[in-house]
Amino acid sequence: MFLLKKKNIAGLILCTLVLSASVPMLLGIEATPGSVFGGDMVVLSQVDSSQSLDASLVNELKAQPNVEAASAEISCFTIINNFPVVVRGVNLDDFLEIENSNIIRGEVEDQDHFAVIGKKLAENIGMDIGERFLLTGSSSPAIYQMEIDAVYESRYSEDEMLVPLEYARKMAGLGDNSVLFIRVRTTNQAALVEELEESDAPVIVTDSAGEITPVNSELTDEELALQQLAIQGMDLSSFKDSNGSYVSLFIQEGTNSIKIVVGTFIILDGALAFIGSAAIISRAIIERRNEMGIISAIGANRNHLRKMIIRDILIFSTLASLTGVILGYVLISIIEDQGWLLMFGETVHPVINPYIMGGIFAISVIIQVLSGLVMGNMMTKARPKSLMQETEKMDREDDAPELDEVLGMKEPVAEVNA
Amino acid sequence: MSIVSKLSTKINRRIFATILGIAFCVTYLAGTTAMVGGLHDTTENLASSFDQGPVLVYTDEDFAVSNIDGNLLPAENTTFVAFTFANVTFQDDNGHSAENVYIISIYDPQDTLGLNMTNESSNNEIWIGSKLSQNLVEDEFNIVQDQPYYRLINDINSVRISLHNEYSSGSIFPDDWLIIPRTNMDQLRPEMAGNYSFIMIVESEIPLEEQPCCDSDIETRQTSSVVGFFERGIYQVEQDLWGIILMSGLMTALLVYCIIAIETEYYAPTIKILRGMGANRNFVIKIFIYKALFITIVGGILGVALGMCAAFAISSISSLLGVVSFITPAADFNSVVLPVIIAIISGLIGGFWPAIKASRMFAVKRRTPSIKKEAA
Repeated sequence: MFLLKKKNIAGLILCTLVLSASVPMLLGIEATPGSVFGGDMVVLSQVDSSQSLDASLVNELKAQPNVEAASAEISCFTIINNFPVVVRGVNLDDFLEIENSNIIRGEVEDQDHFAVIGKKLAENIGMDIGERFLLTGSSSPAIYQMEIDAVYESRYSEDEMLVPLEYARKMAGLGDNSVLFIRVRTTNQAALVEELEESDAPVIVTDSAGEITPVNSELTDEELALQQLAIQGMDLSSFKDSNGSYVSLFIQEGTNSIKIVVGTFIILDGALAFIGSAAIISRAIIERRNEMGIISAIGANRNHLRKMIIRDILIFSTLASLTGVILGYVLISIIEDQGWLLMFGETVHPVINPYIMGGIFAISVIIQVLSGLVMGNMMTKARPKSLMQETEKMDREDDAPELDEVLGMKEPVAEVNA
Repeated sequence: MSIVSKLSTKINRRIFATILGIAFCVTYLAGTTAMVGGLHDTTENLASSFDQGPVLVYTDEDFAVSNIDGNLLPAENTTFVAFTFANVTFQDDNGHSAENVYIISIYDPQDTLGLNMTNESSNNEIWIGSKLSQNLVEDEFNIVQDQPYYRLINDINSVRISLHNEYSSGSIFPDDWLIIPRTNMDQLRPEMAGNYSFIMIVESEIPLEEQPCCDSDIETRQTSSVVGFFERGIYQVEQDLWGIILMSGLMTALLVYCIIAIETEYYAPTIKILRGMGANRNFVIKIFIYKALFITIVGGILGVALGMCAAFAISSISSLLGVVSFITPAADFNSVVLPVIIAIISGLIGGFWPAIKASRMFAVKRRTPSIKKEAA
């Protein structure tokens, strides 16, 4: 038998839902810059804009025994059909190999002239094979009239448009053979870095966890600070003067900034769930004051009452957290499937795995039990005697004659019946 | 002070805690909105100061469909280039053909492109892009100059041409196009006579929206789109705020529901007296709805203030931690007024049901003794 009313589970489910729907989404937002530039791969990017990264390095990398695949790429930011779209300049075969992705519809006949659209992007902007579109430059002016040749699906981002490297070079204002970054799938990152050190090519190596290793580069802290200051003040000319590379800076700073924002939001979510749980539990305890008074009257002390409340909350919160996590999973699956959460043209893919969902369940139970402990402790501070008195007072009020009867404006009900 | 206002604005520890809870929800919403607003402003400032290259004016992203009236070319004091576009089949005399070859005729009155296309109808030269030339050679075409050797076919129309010059990739448009005279274009696309597919405005003293070609049916696009990308990206982030609004609204409604339900428990004797003195159900509902409003307004205002502080604190702390912060939080309607409105709406929704229950409570209790006695 429960002391608290079972209907309170509904409110606790809502509190868990806040956590289970938002935390995977927030973690997905945090993972978005990484998925655009690297995924679970190692990224080699230029140290600064004065030292271009040569696409021919891909062939050298592919020759290494520890390298499984390598793809030279240029990311351009443009607009298609009035949507913000990341256009990726690639060597198509290299891209498909490193992503383990494939063309699902259409075909590319000419490797030097193609436009391959991601499955998700095609759905979002309502375009398909054979449709023509205007492609303009990213940081440099350019005009291209393109026709969609094929649709690809991929492990990471399906929100992009793939074009040949040469087109992307013009869009990004890069010189011949230059690329912005090379993605490498390697079995041994340390060996890869050693090989790069021997080649004398200055590059920044960023692994899938966002760890940065400068190779053959002597970028001082002062130079890095200068670049940060220039980009912070949105002073692009100063940034260029400081030989900044926006790719390496974006990977480093973008990821760090998003980490701070996402971390703050997760803490806020936890606090929201705590406040909500505390309110529901307070209400649940207060609406049972009468019953608590009766139990006190027959000999239960404060500790006994507290134990009863905590036992109920533990059972309720376990059930509510389980239901909330399942509902949250369903909700985020729908949101992801429908592509309702977009950021800068990229669909946010919630991070869902058993550890995260299990963690949310555990945190939700802890939060609800903690708020139950706090509220239970506060509510049972009232002495059993006063609880009893309060109950008796309310009973007396219920049994008391109506005000009209007291004032003599109405005959007492019992008398009327008689 | 009336009874309603006295009862609905009475503060106790529970109400105070609820106000703090609502303030926290509103802080969440106001802070996020202020951050997104700040990002919007930063992008807008950047957009206005960044050279985004010439502007393209067209009616459809597919230039083979786009059509701009030739009478609406830009006014004086405007440097522009007008283009007519077609998608054709390129064929040589051996019957060897290539599909999807893009051709354009150019009207460049001030020779901005340096291709000497100042008079589109009298310039009879045909220029082939270096990339197109290379592609055709790879497709085993024999590219020879000054020979009437090739045919361009667009549906039922065709024209015989010679190639005169080659242009390289230095210009703004791609090097896989074929530039033909307007007379040839009119033969291939007679329906476009006098009209253009798209216009490129390079420089103008007249604002774009005041140009004769820029009526409601046209679209414009900068030739350098990185800033436009971030502008539209911010709009997407703004649209994503519904998630935060929904979450904080739900929590506010839940908090108000709980507190009003608790208050109705404690106010039962007061309600009984009021009902006994002649107060009807609407009067009781009014008390608790006003109470919900009072709690949410106070919590909302407090939350907006805290939200602003939190947004500026996150921005400052990021800088202190050595992380680049692009965002200066913005105080505007969305970050100041909207969160309070959301809190009030949520409060009304959350407070409505307990208020209704409170109004019914006494009616039930008042009948209880009579029913008991009747039963007896």
